[in-house]
Amino acid sequence: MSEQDFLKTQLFGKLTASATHEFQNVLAIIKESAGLMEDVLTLTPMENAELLEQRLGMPLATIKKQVARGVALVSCLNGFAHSTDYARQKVDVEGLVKRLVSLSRRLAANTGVELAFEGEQPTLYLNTDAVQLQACLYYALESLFMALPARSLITLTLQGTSSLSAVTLSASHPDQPISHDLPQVICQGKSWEALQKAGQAIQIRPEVNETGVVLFLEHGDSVT
Amino acid sequence: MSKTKIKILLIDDEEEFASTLAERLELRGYETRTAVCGEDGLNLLAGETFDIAVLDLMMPGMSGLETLRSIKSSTPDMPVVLLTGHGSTKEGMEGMRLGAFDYLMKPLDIKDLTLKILSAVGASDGKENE
Repeated sequence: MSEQDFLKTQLFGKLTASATHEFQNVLAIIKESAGLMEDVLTLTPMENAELLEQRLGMPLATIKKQVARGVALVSCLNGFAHSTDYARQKVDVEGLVKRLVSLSRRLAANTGVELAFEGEQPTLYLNTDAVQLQACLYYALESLFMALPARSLITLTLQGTSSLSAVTLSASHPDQPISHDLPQVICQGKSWEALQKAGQAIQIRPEVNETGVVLFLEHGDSVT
Repeated sequence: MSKTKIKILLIDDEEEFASTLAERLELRGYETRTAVCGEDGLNLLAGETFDIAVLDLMMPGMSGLETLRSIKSSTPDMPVVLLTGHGSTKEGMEGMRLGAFDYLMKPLDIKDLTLKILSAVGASDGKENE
């Protein structure tokens, strides 16, 4: 990444990190206010408690649920913003993949696709450009969004050896087999082209197979 | 002599958060004073005795870490529990290195906070009795 590109990226990261911190404060205030309402309910004399519980119980539960949802999203976004702090850093690959999956869920849903991250994940750290790695992961996902029918599921898993690791993106569908021409469709898309360019910068080798994409991460100077 | 109510100094620049949290703590039997910045918190500390401080790390002006340093300088035996946001764990750990008892992430669960307060004050009481 050129210095100018890094500065621009870092700017996005700084402002986003700052805004997400503000948003966490908003959620904290909402949560405490809902908590105080619950406390008042608890202290309300028995004869009025049941009626109040009926009227306020559901909205309070909704507030708590949505605050938890907001916190999860903001935490991911904050982590994403901080990935721009350094041009190169020690990256927790599992944490990064999980975060990107969370942030990409809505985009996936817009194309009718679901995302999952599962399996036993090896502990893997890489010294790399975290932003570039996320770009590779995202373009790999996007290449599949464009190629898969609605109601497909993309499952991400991590595999590793001492010298090479991989992130596998496998597609499946509840009602039909994956089309045999999936690899060709993926390779014809603009996202695949973007993925190849992004991968070159940090020694990530993408490959297609009959169920999706594999990103091979070479451990040039990895830290396990 | 054991105190009947634990007295908490709550320092957070988000006034609505601090006042609502203070009210919830008071409902649970704690006595609280709130301050919206580090300077105000230190002024309160100069005039009153507290059992514990709960301190937001990310504050404009005098930062949470600067406030913590000043608190530890003036009242080294008073425990401090830090409040930080998700994504600011590095600052939380720096605070621990500077002598904070522990840190919690916002939005927090009041049960977690009260457990932390009891633990911190209990540990502090133990130290005084040594």
